Amino acid sequence: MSGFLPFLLREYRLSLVRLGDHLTQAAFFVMIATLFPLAVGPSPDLLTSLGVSIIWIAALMSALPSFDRLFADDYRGGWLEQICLSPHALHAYVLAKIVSWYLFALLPLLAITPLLMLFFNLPWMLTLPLITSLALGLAALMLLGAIASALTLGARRTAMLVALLILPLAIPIVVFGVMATQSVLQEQSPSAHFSLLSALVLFLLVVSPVASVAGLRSALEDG
Amino acid sequence: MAGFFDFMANPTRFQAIAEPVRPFCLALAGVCFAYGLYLSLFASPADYQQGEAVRIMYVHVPAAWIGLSSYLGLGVCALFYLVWRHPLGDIAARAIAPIGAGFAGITLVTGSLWGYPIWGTWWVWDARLTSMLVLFFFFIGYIALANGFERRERGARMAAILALVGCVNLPIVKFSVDWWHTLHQPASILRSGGVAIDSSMLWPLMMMFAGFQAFFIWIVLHRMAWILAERRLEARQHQSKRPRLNPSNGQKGKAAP
Repeated sequence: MSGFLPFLLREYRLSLVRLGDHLTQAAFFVMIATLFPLAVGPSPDLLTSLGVSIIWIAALMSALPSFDRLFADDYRGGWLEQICLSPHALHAYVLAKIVSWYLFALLPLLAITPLLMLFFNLPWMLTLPLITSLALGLAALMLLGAIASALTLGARRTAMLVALLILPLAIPIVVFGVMATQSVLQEQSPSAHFSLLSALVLFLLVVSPVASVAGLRSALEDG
Repeated sequence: MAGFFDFMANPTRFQAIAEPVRPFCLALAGVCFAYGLYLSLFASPADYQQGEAVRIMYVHVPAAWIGLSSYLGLGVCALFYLVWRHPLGDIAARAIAPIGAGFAGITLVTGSLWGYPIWGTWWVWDARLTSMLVLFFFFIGYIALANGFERRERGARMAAILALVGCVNLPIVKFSVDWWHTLHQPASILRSGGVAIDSSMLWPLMMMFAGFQAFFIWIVLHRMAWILAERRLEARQHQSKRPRLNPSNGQKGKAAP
């Protein structure tokens, strides 16, 4: 795992440059969530019962479009090849990329979540479960995104492909995440759902770097 | 096992074995279909509850089995391709993917046709329906990725990795959908006790399954032969272009344009 911290530092600096992109993503999150009341009607009861699901879908949808850029810039700029040549493991780079993208691009979405809870008339006791489940769910989504991003490097219509590959795999995330929060709303114990969601994150933490590195290696071999 | 794969990895040798197997599979499929259709349409009883509609099962259930097992086959081919790096693994996977998607599609359509008279609706968000739909998406994703690159080898390797990730993840998706269904909806629509099936229905079902399986093997081998021929053609076109691009030693100087 040599080189993990320097990679992380580099990603942090890069994310400062990309701040505008991340803000756009946050705005996108709010906009998707705003569309739902306009589509289903403004009834407060209906919005309370749908709110958690809508926030989840909006978070997922706003995270998706950024994934195709995850490795693309480094690939085009030749940085990936340099990492392959250098003694630093590609694994460290991939992990740093995942961690930094998660911290700087996805976690800010959580800061807006309480605002959206106001929109949907959700009780305040949901704040903690919703944000925790979103934090776990977005981590799992991030790990899937890394795989999809590595596999589609250099493909035609990357953004479409990434969405097509991630969404079927993301089904368990949505199921466990939404149910974890809903069970709090229904005054049941959410611990089973949270455990399953965490297990999913841990599982993907093992699978994702391996698959992503394999994808990046293939992309570099063919040039 | 590896020795077997090594032996089969030679496309010419593979063709030599697959060529005589194909008509045999086709004949077997024809016989099984003919007998199975006779059994399932005429010789088997109608269900006491569902009436004649139960006969959809003889297409629906085998199609679902083939759809599921072909994703497993896709995963095995992907592993074969990634580990031994032989093009035949990729060719087999590419041959299987659209067929598997087709069978998953048949399962969804026949299930929907079956659901309307029995459940009164074309579609319910039942766990099994949903997971078959997801399987269909998995196939679509594989096909899109395998064909999404300018260079074919690249698409082959990326899609193989995806197929393996999918194979590892498919049980989790399936489990999550089951979990979601059991907690969201009470099992009111699904008929209970559907597992115990009388031999008068089991026999035609097995016959149809054998027919589907033989048909599946035939069409996959057929498609593999087709893809192999296509690649050979490409290679030959490539070769026939080469002399014009690099004139041979004897003509050097003279042939310069």
